[in-house]
Amino acid sequence: MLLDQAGVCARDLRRKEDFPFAPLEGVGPNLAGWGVIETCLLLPESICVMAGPSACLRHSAFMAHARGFTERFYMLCLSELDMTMGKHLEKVERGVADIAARRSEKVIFLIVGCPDYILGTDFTGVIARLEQATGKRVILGAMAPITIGLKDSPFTSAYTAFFDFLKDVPRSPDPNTVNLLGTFMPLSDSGELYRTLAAAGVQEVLQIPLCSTLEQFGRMASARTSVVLHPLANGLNGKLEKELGLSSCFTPTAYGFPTIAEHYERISQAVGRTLDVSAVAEAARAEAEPRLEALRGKRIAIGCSINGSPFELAHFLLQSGLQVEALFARSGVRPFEWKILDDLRDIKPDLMIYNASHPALCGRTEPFDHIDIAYGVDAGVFCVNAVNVPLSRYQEQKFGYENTLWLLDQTEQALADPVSNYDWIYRHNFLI
Amino acid sequence: MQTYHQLLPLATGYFGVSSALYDFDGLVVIYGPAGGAWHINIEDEPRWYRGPATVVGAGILEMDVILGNENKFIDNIVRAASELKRRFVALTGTPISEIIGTDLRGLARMIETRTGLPTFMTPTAGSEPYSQGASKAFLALADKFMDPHAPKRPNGINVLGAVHLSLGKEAHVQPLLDGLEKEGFELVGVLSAPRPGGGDPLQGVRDAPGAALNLVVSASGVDLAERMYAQYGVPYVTGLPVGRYGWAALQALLRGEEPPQAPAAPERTNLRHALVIGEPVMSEGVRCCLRHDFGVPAVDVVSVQPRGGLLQASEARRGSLMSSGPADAETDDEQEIAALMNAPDVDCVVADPCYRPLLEEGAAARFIPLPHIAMSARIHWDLPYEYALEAGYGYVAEQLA
Repeated sequence: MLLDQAGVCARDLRRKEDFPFAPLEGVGPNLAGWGVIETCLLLPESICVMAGPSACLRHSAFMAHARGFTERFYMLCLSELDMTMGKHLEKVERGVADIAARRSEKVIFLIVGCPDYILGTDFTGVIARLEQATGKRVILGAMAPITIGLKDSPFTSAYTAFFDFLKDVPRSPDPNTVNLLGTFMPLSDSGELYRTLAAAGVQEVLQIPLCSTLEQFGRMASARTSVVLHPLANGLNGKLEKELGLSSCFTPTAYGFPTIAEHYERISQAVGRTLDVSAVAEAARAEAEPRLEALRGKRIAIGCSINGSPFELAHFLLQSGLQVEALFARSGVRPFEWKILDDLRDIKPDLMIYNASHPALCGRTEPFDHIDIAYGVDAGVFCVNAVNVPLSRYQEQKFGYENTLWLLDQTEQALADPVSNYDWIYRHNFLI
Repeated sequence: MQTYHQLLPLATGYFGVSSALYDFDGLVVIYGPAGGAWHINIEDEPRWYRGPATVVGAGILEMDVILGNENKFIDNIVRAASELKRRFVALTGTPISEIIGTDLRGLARMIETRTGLPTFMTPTAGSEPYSQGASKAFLALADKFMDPHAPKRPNGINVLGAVHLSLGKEAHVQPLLDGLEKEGFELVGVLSAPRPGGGDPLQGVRDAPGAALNLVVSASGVDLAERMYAQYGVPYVTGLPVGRYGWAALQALLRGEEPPQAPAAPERTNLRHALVIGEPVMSEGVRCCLRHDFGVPAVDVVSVQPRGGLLQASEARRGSLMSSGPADAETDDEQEIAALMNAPDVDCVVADPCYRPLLEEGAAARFIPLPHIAMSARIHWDLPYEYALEAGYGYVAEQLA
């Protein structure tokens, strides 16, 4: 199978249909961070119970072990026969009730998989009885890859379900509070965004990973604005906007100065205050320029497992005069990335963009032997001779100009003291 | 219905299929939604890393199930298998194909006709033990590739059931393979670890019927051993030799002799009652080592895979290291295993490190880590440990020191 089938030139990628079609899921390293359980457990005072065949549960169990949330995660193993015959409902109900009896958390996410989705199992009665018997909220969710592309992804649905805990809380709107949505790790303490917002009178930034109780989480309903750092939160943000009247802006994690400047402008408009970032921007530029200069001549590949958009990072590096040679994408181009791709196409029309899950790409490393730096552990799998810079969202969550400097810190550190791609994947768990 | 909290559910049927077929240069298609094959590769198949497309997903979506778009998948598989130049295609079932009753056999026939490649299916779902999935894969592989007229090799031996989910990296099995060769046996087929140096990894499978004997080293090798006796008259011996006495006993069984007397004065430890948790043949090997090499008086085995065929009487079996103790158990239930581990008289537990958290706080039992890849997969894949022959003896001795 020719490698060409797995890639497309930026100049030819203009519509969704242009992205290389993978005849089978070639199992590239391309699904990092696809974790509905992890998403559910962001909600404070919650546990998660997943029910389904062992094979499906095993997948999620690995994520629980890798991310250290086994304590709040339970699995109920069901046979396909029981599921087909509808005999599993009683068992699930009993199993969840048993678990609920020994836990103090107020919320239980009951997650089912593809089989129940296909069978159309109706859990309404089970949930109603469980809520009545346990006094806890029980929320049904799905870990159902069979729905990919047709409905919101399971983790977007789970994140959106958090709205149930905001819609009815007593509100006292606070113009000096901002929500930060779409993060798994809280914004780093150094927090350029904290300082910038504080200087404009925004005293508090609320983030779900920092809420330890539902009461704290409920305060998000009273914030003035939501700043969305990842498309995962678009559903929840939409409800906050539409049903509770919170203003919002979409500012996905970015690395490039023009994009970051634009993001601050969006935040400024959303919070209705002038944000003065000129000094920060100037200082960052001054610091970054010689460091970017030092990377000139290095050949770069970028993968989709980075925190942020590989297209945006490629655009920034190319604008900075660096040499980006390959880009690995997941299922195509996300809506907000098309505009970036338009600009990218003008700068480097021959940039190759690969479908990381295409079977023709599996095991093909020789076309990327010349790459010096690979951003993202997925790119690192293909670029054998490159130093690998994961830029994983499990490392740190940065925002603004400090994210550009973090990118450079990480790159320099990797060049000076490289960690193998194998170790990033198998010892640091950055691929799941 | 079992509840898991600290443990991972063990690998199931189609994981076993992947484990059995991975090294034979085929294309294993997980006939289910996206994600299933991805997880096998990332977690359960460390051999995936930078390797060619071997285990791939069909990527079935909701509308495909509703509309029955089988033709689309046949086209996709035909295209990928032909262009990737794989040696065969294996379709393996998932919970979805099980629930909607996909005719995998029919699909396999159509793919074989269109590609000209040997194609077969393994009827797996998402709940059966991985050893059964691997077993089904071995039978299918044998049906497709074994040559009934393979030349007879009087000293030839096949090793059956050597799947990575049971035995870990090939390097761990190597002392056994070396030992067999040193004993004068000629290795014909090692399922599933093709011998290095050969051009065609399936050659060992083709030649396997010509061997004089089969050695079954895990539960997933029994069905194939029985089949090979019925079809080709090749008898088998069961056992995985861990440590010194196990190897001596196995050598005798392979020669058709009675195992030697156990050493009268083995190494002594203070341990009185050990519990070994894991794959049944491996666990039996560890029991044998603890008892006869180190003098532990009571050793019970918790087999997390069915032992059925391993213990049943069989005309085909020439000898076995397997035994059954009164306190042995066959379960993969987290609560039951936790109770057995925390029994007051158990002073040593040999198991995958994932079981360690089940030991209650303050428990006095010594824990000896022995990764079971079907439990912990990549989490403990690289852990330093050994089991086979003298290397296994050395590892246990070091842990007991």
